[in-house]
Parts: sequence; C-alpha cells; structure tokens
Amino acid sequence: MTGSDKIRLLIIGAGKMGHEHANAFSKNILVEIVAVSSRTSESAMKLAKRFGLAFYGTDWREEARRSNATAAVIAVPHLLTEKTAEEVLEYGLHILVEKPVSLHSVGTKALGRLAESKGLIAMVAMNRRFYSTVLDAILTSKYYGNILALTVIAPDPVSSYRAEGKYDPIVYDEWFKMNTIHIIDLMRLIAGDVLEVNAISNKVGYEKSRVALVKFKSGISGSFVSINSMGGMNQWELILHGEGVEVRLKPLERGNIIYADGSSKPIVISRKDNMKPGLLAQANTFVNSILLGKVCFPGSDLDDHARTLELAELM
Amino acid sequence: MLAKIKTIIKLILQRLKVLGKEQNEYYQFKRIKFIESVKLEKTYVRAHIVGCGAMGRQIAHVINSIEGWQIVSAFDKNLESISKLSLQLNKQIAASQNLDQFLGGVGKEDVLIIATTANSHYDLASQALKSGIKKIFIEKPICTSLADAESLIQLAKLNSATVYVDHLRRWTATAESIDRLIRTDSIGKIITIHYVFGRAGFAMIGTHIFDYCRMLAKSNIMEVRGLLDSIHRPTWRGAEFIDPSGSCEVKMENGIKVIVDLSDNLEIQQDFLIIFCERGRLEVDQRNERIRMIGPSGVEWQKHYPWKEMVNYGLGLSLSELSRNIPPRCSLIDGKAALEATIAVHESSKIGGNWIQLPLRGKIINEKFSFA
Repeated sequence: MTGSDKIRLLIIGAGKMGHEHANAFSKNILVEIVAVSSRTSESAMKLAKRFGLAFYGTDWREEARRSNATAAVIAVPHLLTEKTAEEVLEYGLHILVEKPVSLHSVGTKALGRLAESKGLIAMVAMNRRFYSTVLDAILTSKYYGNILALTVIAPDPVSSYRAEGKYDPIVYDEWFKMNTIHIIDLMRLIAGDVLEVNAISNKVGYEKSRVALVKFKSGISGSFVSINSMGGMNQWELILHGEGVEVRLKPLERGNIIYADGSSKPIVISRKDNMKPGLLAQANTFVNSILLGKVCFPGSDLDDHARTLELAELM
Repeated sequence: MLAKIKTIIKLILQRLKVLGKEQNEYYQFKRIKFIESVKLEKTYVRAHIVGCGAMGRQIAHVINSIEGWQIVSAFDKNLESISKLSLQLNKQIAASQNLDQFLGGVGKEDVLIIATTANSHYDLASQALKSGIKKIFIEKPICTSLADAESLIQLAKLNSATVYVDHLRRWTATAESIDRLIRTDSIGKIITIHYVFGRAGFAMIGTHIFDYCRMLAKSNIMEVRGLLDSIHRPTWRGAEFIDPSGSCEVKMENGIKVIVDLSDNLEIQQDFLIIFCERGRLEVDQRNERIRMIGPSGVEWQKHYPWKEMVNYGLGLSLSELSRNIPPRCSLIDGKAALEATIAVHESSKIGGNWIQLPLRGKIINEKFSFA
C-alpha cells in the first residue's frame, strides 16, 4: 500500500492519551501518522519526535492542511472535546474522539448529525468495548444461549479524585458522565437499547450515589449500583447472566466463566499488544470503519454514544 | 521470580484441568435441560422404527437413553437386525415383517421413524401417511426423485401429518450458537460460505450441507453448478447405490455464495466450514470440535464446539418436538430443496459444470436416482 492510499492521521492533543492512541495507530499498516497538534509546542514536539512526524504545532487546522490529514484522533482536555470535535468535523476529517464527547446527549446527537451529513466516520473512544475480556464475555454468553440479565457494580471514589484537584471541579461534578460512562456503555453494548429505567439517587458522603434497574428492549434486565465510597477495592464488576453460563469480570481486565455445573474457567485480558488494553483493537476498528464506511462492532458512533448518555441521564 | 513461575504453573494446570471440563460441559448442560423439559412436559416418546441399520440403531440408542421413552416395535426385512438391536438395548422390541400390520400398530400419538435407504422412503412414507400416521421422522435424502418428494409433501398436507426430515444440524444447539453469534453483528452479514467436507457423496452428505447453508443463509438456493468426480466408489450400503463425490458452487437468492467440496481426492474428511462475513469470519472445525471467530478489530475468540455429542442431543430434541407436534425445523419442503440441489449438481456436471437454475423443470423431475 502506497503512502497516498493510507489513512493520514492527525493527533490533536499530545497528552497521555494522545501518546497512547498514537502508539496504537503506529501498529496499523493502513495508517500513517502525519501530524500532531497540541496546546503547547513542547508537548507537540515531544510526540512528533517520538513517532518521527514532520508536522507538529499548536494549530490543528494548520497541521491538518500541511500534512493533508484525512482523519484525526481528538484527545484534548475534557471540556474542549465537544467544540474541537465539531470544528474538526466541519473541516472534513474522520474522527476518533475521546469521551465524553459532550456532557449532554443532545449535543452528541447534533455532532452525530453533522458527521452523517458530511459522510464522515465519528467513533467515540470507548476502549473498554475492545477489551478482550469483554468481547470474550459477550461472545461466550451468546454462544451458550441468550443473555438474561446484567449486573454492574461501579464504585467510583470521586471525592478522593476531587481532593487531588487535578482537573476542573466540573469534571468531578460530572464524573458519572466522564468516567462511569464506560461501564454504562458496556451495558448498552451487551443489552442494546433501553426501554425503562427505575433509578434512585442520593448523596452518600460528599458525592452522589446511584442505584438503577434497567429494562432493555432486548428483554435483558440490568441492575446498576454506583456509590462513591464503596468497599471492594473500588473495582468495577460486570456480570453477564446467561443460559447455562455466567461470566463475571472484576475488574474488567479479568474474570471467570462459570458453567452450570459449577466449574469455572479464568479469563484474563490479552496483553499481547503491550499497550493500554483495548486501544489497538479500537484503532484497528476505527481504520476498518473508515474503509467500510460505517462504524463497525464493537465501536460506538456518535448516535450510539448519545443513547449511552441518555441512559446515564435517566439514571 | 519463583512466585511468577508458580503462578504460570498454576495457570497452566488450571487450563489443562478446565479443558477437560470444557469438552463436555456445554453438551452436559443442554442434555440436563433437555431431560428436565421432558419430565416437566411429560414428553414420553413411543417410537416405531423401520430399518434397523446404522441410523436406525443410532436413533434407537438415543430413545433408549431417555427415561420414559420406548421403542414399541421395529420393522426390517432382516429379522436378525431387530433381534440384534433388542439385545444391544437390552429391551424387548416387537419385531414385524408385515408392513400393514406394523403400521397398524402405530398409535395416534406415536412416532414412526423411517431409517431405511432412500430408495424405499417414498413407498414407506406414502403408505404410512395413507394409513393415518400423523408423526413421521424420515431419513435423508427424503426420496430418489423430485416427483416423489413433491408427492410426499402433498400427501402429508392432505393427511395433516407432521413430517420431520433428519437434517440434524437444525436441531443441534451448536448450530443455534452459530446463528446467535452471527446475529451479534460482530462480524456483519454472511457473504460466502465455504464447506470442505472431504470424500463423500452429494446425496449422503451434500444434502446435509445444502440444508445447513439454507438455514444459515436464511434463503433458498437459486443456482447451482458443479462437477462430479469420475471415480465412483461403492457405498457401504450396497453396490446398487450410486452417490458420486465432487464439488459445487451455489448461489442463494439473497446473494450469498456457497462452495462445497466433497472431492474424492480429499481422502481425510475435514468437515471444515468457514463462514465469511462482511467484517470477519467464523471457522467451524467439526472434526476437531473447535469454533473460532476473527473480527475486524483483529481480536480472536475460540471455543470448544461439541459436535459429536450434539448429534445425539439433536436426535433426542427432534423426536421430542415431533411427539409434541411442534412444526418441523426441517420439513419435507426443506428436504426436497436439499434433494433438488443435489440433483442439480448431477445435471450441471452432465453439461460441463454450467449453471443450473432452480427450481428444476422438465424430465428431470421424474428421474429416479440410485441414492442411498
């Protein structure tokens, strides 16, 4: 494949996630990382040096133009994501955008409509979807029979993070949509669209807690618990209750398949790609989505992500 | 370092221990659930078998293994086959060599199993239907001519009888698993199916594959082209039967393409199926009992695919459903479609492997083949 056939990728945001995404994409032979843009020229240069990029700077438009980019990864600070995504889509690049795209489903839907009107791929970087353990859990459950129910336990020690003060206070106020959204998204990946939600929310300690029962259109029932100061090592837990098999992940990177006779088999996340779990598979899926013209399973496009945000909002 | 080694050894041992469990677990679960449902729904099959050859014996063993089910009587030209079966099952089976008498003994709720060679299917099934038997399980291929197949379909309709055709994959939990996996949309819609079985006849094995592909593709066969091998190997069922091997290509009405290879020079039967989809593929190694899915993200997933045991599970499930008058997963119409595809391969081979449109018309409808 010649240089001109490859997807020419611009990295917007040279922080930790920018580096992680660049590393993942560097493994894909259909991609050429051509440029990086960041808030500071130092950070842009650092990433450019690491990956041997000719174009780097602080103005993504300029870097996109100079490098003839055809796609972009958007890994900017949380509160700049929505605006940046809109601008990049308007410019005309396919995007893989870090979450949360927007703090509201309405905003996300609008971006989805924009992407569609321009015939662009817009995939949200929900990397847990690409964990080998999660895919193993879904496929194994479906192999044995129908998935009957889900249980999600999602402790999030928000007050501890808030005390650290690394981000803008609004990030902690919206932590549910900033981070817990990952496991809410997995519920939708597994069970599909929502029919009904019954939720209780109250303050436990400094932060909000949430307990919800979710009925999905597929017939699957879901239960969700997220309390700030829970015990259990603050590890997320996902249980798929299927016909003849139960799959428990705790944390999401490892778990067990438990069969009807009580025997079990461990599953451990694949680390063969030696990078942050799920990122390589996510990068590959983004590339394939561009080639095929639509976001492939298990990727989440903006419209799909908006429905995940709606579920979070209902909770 | 020592701790690391210990962990690795532990994981290996766990894996080895679990592999053994994995071999049987899925099948055991399905079997337990099946037996539970038999007891809860009080489905007690009373069966009458025609033909105590290999298939008849296999079906009889399945029936015998389920509590409350019984083989009431058997009919075979060779009485010795019936007594041999009786001995094997350690059960008394009423033997008959008078067909009218035998069919007269089949009760309204009983199941008649026709497990003879194809050349006798039409006569046996039509007589059974005319005598008022309502539940029939018939081996494949259903007949040796399309005209006979159509006649059976009409007769079954006229007599309001339920007839199941033994294209067993439709009743195996593993085939349902494949269907569910494809419906997850993780690799998209089916584009092409490749089935390499190995040396086998189109009537004996090809009919199973054609039916299976119709089930997977959820579509009818539109066109067939194929070439039969010039080598004709005698089947173990008898020298009078002719069922050549070969290979063929099939186009389904919905655009899915199927390639089936039963070539004579594939001496070892591979029984390997690849379902190519829009964004990945599913590989089913029935011989080695593994299933593997490869998706667009490059992630692989594999599992044990308990085929051999599922065949018996499928037999039990099909007889249970038949006795409860559940509409067949594989009807006479499906059986006829599989037969028609087989005959189309023969026709195509005669004209140098050119495409043959289905449904077949003209003289070929009445032509009788020497399928076993």
